[in-house]
Amino acid sequence: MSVMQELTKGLFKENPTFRLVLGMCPTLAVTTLAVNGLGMGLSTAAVLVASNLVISLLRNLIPSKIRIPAYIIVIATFVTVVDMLLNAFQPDLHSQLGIFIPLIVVNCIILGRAEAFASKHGVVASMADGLGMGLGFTLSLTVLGSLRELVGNGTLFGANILGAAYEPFKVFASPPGAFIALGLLMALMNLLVKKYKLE
Amino acid sequence: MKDIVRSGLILMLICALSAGMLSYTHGVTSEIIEARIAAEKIALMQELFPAVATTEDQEVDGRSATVGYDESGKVVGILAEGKATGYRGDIRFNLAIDGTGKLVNLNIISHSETASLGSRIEEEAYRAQYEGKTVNDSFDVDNISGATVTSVAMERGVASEMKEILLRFGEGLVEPVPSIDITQLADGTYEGSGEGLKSTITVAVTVAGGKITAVEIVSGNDTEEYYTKAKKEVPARIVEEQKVDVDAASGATISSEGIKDAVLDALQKPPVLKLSEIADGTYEGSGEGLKSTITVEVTVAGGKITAVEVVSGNDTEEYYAKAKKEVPARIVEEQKVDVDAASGATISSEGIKDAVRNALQQ
Repeated sequence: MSVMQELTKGLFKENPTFRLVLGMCPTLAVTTLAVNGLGMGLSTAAVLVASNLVISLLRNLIPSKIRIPAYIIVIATFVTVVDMLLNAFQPDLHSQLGIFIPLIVVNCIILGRAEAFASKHGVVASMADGLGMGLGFTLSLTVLGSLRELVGNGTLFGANILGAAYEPFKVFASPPGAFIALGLLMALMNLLVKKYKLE
Repeated sequence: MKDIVRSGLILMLICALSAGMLSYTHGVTSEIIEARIAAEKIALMQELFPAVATTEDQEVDGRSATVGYDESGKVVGILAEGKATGYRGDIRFNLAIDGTGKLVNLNIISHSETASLGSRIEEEAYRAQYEGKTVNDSFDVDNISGATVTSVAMERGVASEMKEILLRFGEGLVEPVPSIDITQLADGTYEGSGEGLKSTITVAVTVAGGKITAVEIVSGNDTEEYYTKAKKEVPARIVEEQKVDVDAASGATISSEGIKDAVLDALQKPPVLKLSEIADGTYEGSGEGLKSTITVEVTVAGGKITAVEVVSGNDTEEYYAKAKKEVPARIVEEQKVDVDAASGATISSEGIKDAVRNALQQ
């Protein structure tokens, strides 16, 4: 596969949220607003790119017996760095995302990509894979967040779209609404994949 | 073996790199984060106390508070947490007290009171009743109907917690209550009262040989269900543990607190004299007047005070003459020491009363 293919597969064909159904915890929990989804997605993407890069660099050094603890240390380090940076420079987003930032450590997308891809491929391919997967995750979360914010609150990125007359479906802003919205988007995605024979 | 050592070393290397990276990031971000948290805290304090320029977190005797200072370094606001025992558990609240000792804001943090009854303490209209009060004011606000226990717990809790907070952080706004040394108390019976849930509870405390030997509930009319329990358990505990601040009877906190308050009140007052137990005779005693020591002679016959004579004393004549004339006559008439003072001559009157008490206690 070319680098370009590595980059784009995460966006659609192997989209982590809608196709692989990975990292559901932050997906469902933080996507009450589009901006939260975007922030969470970008934070995860940053950790994913950085950890894929480091793990790919160290892949010949780390003995296979201790690879999982080694990956987790690398991932936890980058998550903590992202946590501190967000706290310092984006305090509002940091307080909105709360506990889900430190929980990126256990997001299975990251450990999954480390184990399935970065530990077997070169640096450039691994970074492309991390970036693609990260952006795919970001895109999914932003779309999910946008849908929930628009239907559940009548706004999009904080701007009032549907007007004051719109009576919001409050359920979309609550946890059950997250499942409904996710289900609808997955169905749409499956339809598109089938129709345009993307598999 | 070699394998294990190699794996360990590699993990250690990764951890060392990780630690280096984290400490670098921490160094870059921690100052920014701390500055922001401090600014947020000041902004929060300024909302409550507009004059705040700097804040400081303090901890005294296991209590912490955020104290706000103005530009000259004077305390202008104290924000601290307090706790009351409600109907179904602890009620935690934040008290914001300004530099003059006035309660500016009462905010409920958490509680487990009955929904739509006790939980109405959260309502702005209820909480606002406490605003502007100082520790010397009455905290008797409008109760929430159907939630007497919660209401009373809040009134008592806010009043006592406010005092505790000001004692620690108020820089002299509240004088500490002198603690009672039971072993130093004179033998005798002490009477005092305290507020129960629905009534005033009066107790008689007997002290002998520096020990509390009995606590008797004289009157009180709280809800029987709880009151009986408090009446049974609390006095027994006070006698057993030889201290006033014992555990409340479970499920009857407010009646228990009322009894404890009554005992505390009693022990702060001079003992009650039992005239019938005093042998016939003439007793001499002295007390401090305004400018001199007043000496009196008290004659007791058949369990009654038959005469009180002021023997010596040298207070300002103008007031003293009045006190000398009125107070002894009242004591004989009412057969008790604690009579009304002669109006306009309070200190001389108290001096005479102290002297009589002193005489009868010998």
